[in-house]
Amino acid sequence: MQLMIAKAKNACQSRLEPLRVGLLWLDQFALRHELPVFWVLGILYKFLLDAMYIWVASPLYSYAGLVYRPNFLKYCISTCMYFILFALLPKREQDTPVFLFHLQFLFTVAPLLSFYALSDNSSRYMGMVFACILLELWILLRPRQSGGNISITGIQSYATVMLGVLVIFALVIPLIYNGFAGLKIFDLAYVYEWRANATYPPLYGYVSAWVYSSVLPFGCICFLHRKKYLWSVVCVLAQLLLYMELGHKFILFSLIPAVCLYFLSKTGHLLKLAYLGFCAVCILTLISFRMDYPENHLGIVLGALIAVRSIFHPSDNKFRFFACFRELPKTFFSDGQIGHMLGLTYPYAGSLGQVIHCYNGGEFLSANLNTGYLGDSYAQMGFAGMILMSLLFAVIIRFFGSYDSKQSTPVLVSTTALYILTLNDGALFTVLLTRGLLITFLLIFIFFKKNEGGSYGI
Amino acid sequence: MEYSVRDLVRILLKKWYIIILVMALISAASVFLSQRSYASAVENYEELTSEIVVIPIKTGTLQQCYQLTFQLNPDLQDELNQHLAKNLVRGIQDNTEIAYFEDLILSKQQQSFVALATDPDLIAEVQVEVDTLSYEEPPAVDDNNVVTFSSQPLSVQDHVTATAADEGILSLVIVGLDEPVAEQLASIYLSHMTARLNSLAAIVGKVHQTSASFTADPVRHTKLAQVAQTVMKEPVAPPNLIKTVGTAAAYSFVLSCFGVLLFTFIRDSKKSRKD
Repeated sequence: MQLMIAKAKNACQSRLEPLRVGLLWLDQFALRHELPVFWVLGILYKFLLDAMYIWVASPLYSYAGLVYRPNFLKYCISTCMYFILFALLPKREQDTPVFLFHLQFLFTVAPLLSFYALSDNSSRYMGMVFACILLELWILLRPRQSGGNISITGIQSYATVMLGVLVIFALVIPLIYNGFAGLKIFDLAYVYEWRANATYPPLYGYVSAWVYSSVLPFGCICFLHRKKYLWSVVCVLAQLLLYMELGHKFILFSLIPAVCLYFLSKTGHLLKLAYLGFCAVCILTLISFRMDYPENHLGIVLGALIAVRSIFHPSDNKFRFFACFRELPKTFFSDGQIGHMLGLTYPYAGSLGQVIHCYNGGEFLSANLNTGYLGDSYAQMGFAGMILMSLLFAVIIRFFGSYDSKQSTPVLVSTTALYILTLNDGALFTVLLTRGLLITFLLIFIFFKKNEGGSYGI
Repeated sequence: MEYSVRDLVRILLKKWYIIILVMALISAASVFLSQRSYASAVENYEELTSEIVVIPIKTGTLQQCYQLTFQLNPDLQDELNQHLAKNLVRGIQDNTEIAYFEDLILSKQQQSFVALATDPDLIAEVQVEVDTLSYEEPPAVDDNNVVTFSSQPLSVQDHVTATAADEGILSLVIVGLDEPVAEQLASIYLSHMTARLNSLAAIVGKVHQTSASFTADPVRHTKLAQVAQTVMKEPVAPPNLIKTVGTAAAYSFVLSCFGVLLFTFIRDSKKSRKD
């Protein structure tokens, strides 16, 4: 029996040997030519984004704002801005803040630059965004001082039990209030009907968001890292169950990128792979959309999901926020917890996204246009608000760097990267409080501990 | 820096006075800020929702009603009397026949009057006279609330609507012009109409104005004001100060604890770097 197993193992190894050799060669090539590889991928991504806007996003969605009105001067300016920022961004692997900044650059800033030039949009706002990103880069590039990281000791076991209770609480409450939809919830059309009829007790929204955004992904990745695969599977099942009770698509899909990032970061080439991945997604979207258009439904779905909903629609919304709140009064954080704390008067009859929708000719209260922190902060306090939020964002991202080590970086990156993607659609304070970034901080303080060598690990 | 839970609690208890101070400061600030925010919200609401498009000329709608009475043309009266004399010689009863002919003529006149009110030739005549006065179309406001002055000559048919009823009632409605120009236009129209009627068998005996009114066009709000009226909420009542202070104290307790811990971490980490 053992001989058979040994034989099978040898057969597999011999089959996979060419693949292993190929990957090793790629690894060496990427290490030897790191900078040229980055530059090739950076240049390719810039032009693929432009192509995706011209041939996918704009044809699909020009009636709703993604117009194609190229301006040559703005295109030159946006290209210069893109390459200035790309040149300034450090190109270091195994560095969580650097990776997170690059992720923001890929997902938020580069699409903004393309949209600005190809739809002839506001140079003033683009200039403000550029200034904010430069400020963030300045903070990122300041020399990092060693030591001084925070760690709360002696409560790991208590925290683990408490988090377990929190997860159980988050799973039980929706069952009591709304019952269980079962497998029907995987019908992505039925999900909206389920969500419209669901009710929850006060503050449950916070608890559930913390659990599915922070606690379960952190738990899944940590157990994976400690090779406790059973507990990792339990976290995945809990996340799945939570989706079946709440019906938010984010819950269903959020663990996939987290786990993928964890494994990819172990290769030591996560940043290059991120650029490669984004380029591949652009190429796939372009080709599938243009093939047999307009009969190709899959291409249209991919185009709508990736090019429009994920990448360019948020860029459009940022410019809309700027255009609207140039004329309407700023809110000075009166819509959130800061407003409640200081007793500020919120001047609008709906949320900021609903105000924007009405400002652009839509029916008031019928739709909500979400925007990222760069748009929301302008609505709060104008350019000063953008500077403030950018500063806070940079400090938060830089903070993660103090826990970086060969051991802990895969966990850090995989648990924090999703917040960067969420910040393309939500305000910074919302992500901190509601979406659980503060909870992630707490989990890092509790579960990351200093090893004998001085580095951090789980 | 490693801290146990006991360390954290000890740090907070040691700095209890800072926590109280921060709570007091934020609560005091909330009193000032909440009132300032309320006043600002009221001011913004009133200012934005009442923003109007400033048009230099106040246009409106002029409505005038006239009562016209018709009487037989004197020349025609002579002819009828001669006819009467001839018929008397022939022995035909005269008074009824005269009255019949008079009624017939006046009835035809009424019909002509009704038709004339919508006659394009009459409008054309009025237009010719208006052109000599060099009136221009009033300024227009586009969707972006930009007032554009027109150099186009005033077009009568775009502004004047006349309706005539059988009983000699003429209603004139003139829209989109300022009052002096509208009244002038009405006067020109009436004079041309009476001239045309006078050229027919019966003549206009009396013209009596029964009513006249000028209603200014409603104030036009800017596009921003229209949006503001929809999306903005009128601040109803000023903030309750006791509730504001209490809420601020509760939130600031959490914030000040966090602030004290953060300050301690930063101070301790600076110390450890120096060591």
